[in-house]
Amino acid sequence: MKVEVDLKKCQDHGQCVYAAPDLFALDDEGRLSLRSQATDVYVADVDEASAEALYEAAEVCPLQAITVHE
Amino acid sequence: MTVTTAGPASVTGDLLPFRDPGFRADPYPYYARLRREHPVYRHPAGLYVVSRYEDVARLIRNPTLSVQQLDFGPAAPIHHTMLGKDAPDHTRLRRITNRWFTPKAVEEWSKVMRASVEAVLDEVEKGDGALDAADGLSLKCTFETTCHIFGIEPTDMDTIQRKTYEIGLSLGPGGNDEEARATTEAFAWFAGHIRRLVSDKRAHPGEGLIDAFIAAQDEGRMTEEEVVHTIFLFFAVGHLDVKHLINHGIWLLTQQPGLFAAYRDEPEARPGIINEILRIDTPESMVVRLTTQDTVIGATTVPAGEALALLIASANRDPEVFADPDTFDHTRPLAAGQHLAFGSGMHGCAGQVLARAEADIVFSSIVNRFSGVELAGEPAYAHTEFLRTITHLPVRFR
Ligand code: HEM
Ligand code: SF4
Repeated sequence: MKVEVDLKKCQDHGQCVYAAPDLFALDDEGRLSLRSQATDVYVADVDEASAEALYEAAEVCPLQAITVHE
Repeated sequence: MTVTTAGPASVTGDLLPFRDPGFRADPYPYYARLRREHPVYRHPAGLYVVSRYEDVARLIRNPTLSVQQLDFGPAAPIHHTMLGKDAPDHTRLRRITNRWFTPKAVEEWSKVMRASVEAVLDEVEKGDGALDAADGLSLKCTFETTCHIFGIEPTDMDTIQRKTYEIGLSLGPGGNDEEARATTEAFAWFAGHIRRLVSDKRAHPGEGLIDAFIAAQDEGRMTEEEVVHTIFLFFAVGHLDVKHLINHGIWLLTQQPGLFAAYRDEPEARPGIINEILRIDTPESMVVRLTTQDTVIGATTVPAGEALALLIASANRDPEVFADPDTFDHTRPLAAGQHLAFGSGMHGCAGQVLARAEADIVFSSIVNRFSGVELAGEPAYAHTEFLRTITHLPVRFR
């Protein structure tokens, strides 16, 4: 499965970090750490084992910046 | 207290007269001067006021800043809520409530809000089209929605509004002794009222947010104090800022017939219109944080243990980010969506999906049903240095 994070929508609320700490992190500036790897849209493969946490992250993101692709 | 640069300390006079009625009515020229001349301003009350977008946006996400160590004065009970806690307590409390305000959950709450708004407008249409939109629409409908989420009957609305406002008076840095007393009394009233609601709920369980808090307490994930004060928090945030978004939006519709038409005819413009209402008259002027280490802000180094007031309402008018910032323009490029009205970072607003949905329901229902709206009297205000508030908004729909 894949995760897609729209970094233009994301406002670094970090709620995804609480839901899926293995997949998301904030950097020292308090910004989503994926920002160092992409500017507009971040896409990555995610292990099926993390599916539940990933879906929770997508659900709680207040900006709806996270999309999960099966 | 030590000040490590001459910048902020060299200012004489009060550039941010929190209690001045002129300032409260229209703080924006004061903010503009601060941004230009004193972007990090040491206020006579002791705190450092930060007014430029770039600084505010960076600091509001700075994980070294604390809210738990802040002295909230008479509003100290807020430390029993996520708003007054740092990680890991903040994380624990926020995770309990986050699921209740996801877009999927908000679809459910929107049905309640829509029914409430339609019921009010039905009555308006039967009558002469006149309404005090502040209490009769914005407060009533958001309050009923909050109570539905809680799983309780919508009772004591006027008292809850008044007591919340009295607590709000002490949230900004400009409070006085009389306001502090009112705040203490209001917290005591809420504690009594909420403990009654909770024991009622224990006797007659349901599936609301209050039931979820009771379950969390029984499982050891929340303390009793946290349950009581978190319920207070949602009573407060359930109407306070969103009411201003709706009221200011309706007022703008009375002033700009073009906006009324745009909201009706261009559904794709609606999110941008809501963002611009939030930007141009940001309901909550500031968020406050405590430094825990030397913190560099532009040319100023603020030492540990100092309170920072991050003026989100000023950041949202910074011409460096928002061209012609004092003009309402909902067609601003996307970057303008990055206003800071909901804060950002860890404490970023937990209810922003709900707030946007509630505002959209009100504005959509109005433009779909009526051909225009005008003022039917003078609006009345009770702005503080912390919160924008319209207390009366007499309008007539046609
Ligand atoms: C237009 C409406 C609203 C505005 C402008 C607004 C603004 C804000 C701001 C600026 C903060 C950050 C405070 C800080 O960083 O210290 C905040 C936090 C919060 N808001 Fe809202 N809010 C609104 C509506 C709502 C609604 C409707 C709810 C829920 C029903 C809500 C729930 C919360 C909660 C629980 C927090 C605390 C989050 C935390 O500390 O992690 N808000 N809001
Ligand atoms: S929860 Fe959403 S907005 Fe917050 S950091 Fe994660 S992706 Fe960004």
